[in-house]
Amino acid sequence: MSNVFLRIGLGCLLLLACGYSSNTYAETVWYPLPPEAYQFGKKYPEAQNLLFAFDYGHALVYEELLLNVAKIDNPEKFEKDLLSQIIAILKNPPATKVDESDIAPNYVFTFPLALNLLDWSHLLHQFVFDILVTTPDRGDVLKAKVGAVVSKYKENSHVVITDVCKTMQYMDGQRVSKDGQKALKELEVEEGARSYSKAFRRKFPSFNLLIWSYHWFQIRLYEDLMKSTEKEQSEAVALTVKTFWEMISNLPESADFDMMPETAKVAPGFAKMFPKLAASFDTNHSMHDIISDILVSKLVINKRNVGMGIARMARDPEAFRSKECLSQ
Amino acid sequence: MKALIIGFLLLGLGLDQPAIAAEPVSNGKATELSLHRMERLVTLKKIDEAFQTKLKAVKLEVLPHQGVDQPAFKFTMVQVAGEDGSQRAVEITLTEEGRSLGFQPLPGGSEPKDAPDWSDKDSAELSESALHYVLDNVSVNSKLAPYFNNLSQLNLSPASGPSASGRVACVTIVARGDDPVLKIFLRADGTIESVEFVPK
Repeated sequence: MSNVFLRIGLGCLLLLACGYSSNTYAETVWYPLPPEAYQFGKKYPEAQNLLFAFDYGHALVYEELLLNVAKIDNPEKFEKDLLSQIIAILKNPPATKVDESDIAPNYVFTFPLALNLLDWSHLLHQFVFDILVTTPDRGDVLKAKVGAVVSKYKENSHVVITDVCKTMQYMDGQRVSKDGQKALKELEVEEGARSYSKAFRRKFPSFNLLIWSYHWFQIRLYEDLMKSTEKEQSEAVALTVKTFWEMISNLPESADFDMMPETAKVAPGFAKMFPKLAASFDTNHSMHDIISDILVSKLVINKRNVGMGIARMARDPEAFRSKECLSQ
Repeated sequence: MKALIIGFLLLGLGLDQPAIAAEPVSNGKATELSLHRMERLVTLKKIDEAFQTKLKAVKLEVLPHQGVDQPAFKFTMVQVAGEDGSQRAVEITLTEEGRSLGFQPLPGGSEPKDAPDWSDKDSAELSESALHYVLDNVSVNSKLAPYFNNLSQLNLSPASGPSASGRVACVTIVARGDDPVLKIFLRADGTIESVEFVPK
């Protein structure tokens, strides 16, 4: 009899464990793939491979910063040396998406939730490119196809970035938590500013402008692909590729951004038709910037915990909710 | 001269980028964009860091212009006064769409003396937080429209008077015309404590 109770008890524990794990872990595997998947790359291989290279470049910068930021005594030289490696990768980009855990294992360990959100969102980015390039319609048919991938994206709710837009304070107003302040006090870090936002762009302006150039490139492509004819699309994509290379030709001077590029400004036609996607993509890009700040700022002691927090904010429609939003 | 050359270089790069039809921006929005440009200039070490940390005022002159690539806004960003009372300043020009055209440090001015020691956000960020109050709320509060549309000057100073809710700074925004002066009181982290409209 007691054996029966033991079995029932173990069964319950197993069920509880399954339920718990489904709330805390989500695979970012998109199955089945949409029929249009990766058609963008067949038509515009140079642009597609640059997108793959950006993932590589992000991971490389983040891993180097995570491992070495405390030891960097000459940030300008560090930037220059690493930039030359990244430019070489951009000029010889991979033809497939790289696995970030191969290039940046510490980064992947430190930001597990954020990375899952970014990976899942990048798949959505990709499939929207693929649909835009394979769908001649610029009306209801296009909206329905994009709507189908958005629905699929939202099914994996644990790793979905909200489509309610956020204020710039999400990116620029991040502060050390009470726990973080306690840790700083224990380390006898002097009193003073407790905002860690903008740490990356101030210490490594060239890396920051490189990443903003990536973001510009990605969202500008959406506007290019909104063109109604294939010829117009191709010309626009070619110009965007050319402009991107000019932007990164002499960093930091050559990338003339004061702020992170926003979808509504860089891709107004796309943002008008897909305002919720625009909001979601901007939050994706903001989260990249916050991760950069977490990596660089001496004020952030427990980078893994803080990284989890900002990822949860990216999912949360109420966190830093903006009153001025095309998608509402 | 160097600043002018850099300004023209940036203008050249800007013109090279694919054109996107942008709308003319309001005075309030242009002022926010001028602060962003100033921050970039500080980050790239083109101008003195004290413009970010010891900013006292932003003055706006709207320029007559005929094309989208011509200067439409001229901003003078002014630091806290030095011992002799003079202030360092830099001019920043923007197009009507808010695109930066160039910058020019003005001659003279001495090192700021007795600048407030803002404990969290710096002076430019506090000024921007106050501007965001105007930009984010003008659609629901018509009393903010004069400052959104006709802003002519912004001043930052330590907040005076007792406050239980931690106000440390006061940003005064002046609009052209007879509208009252808008006073926005801020906490150290840039959040808004209170707002007053004071007759001129």
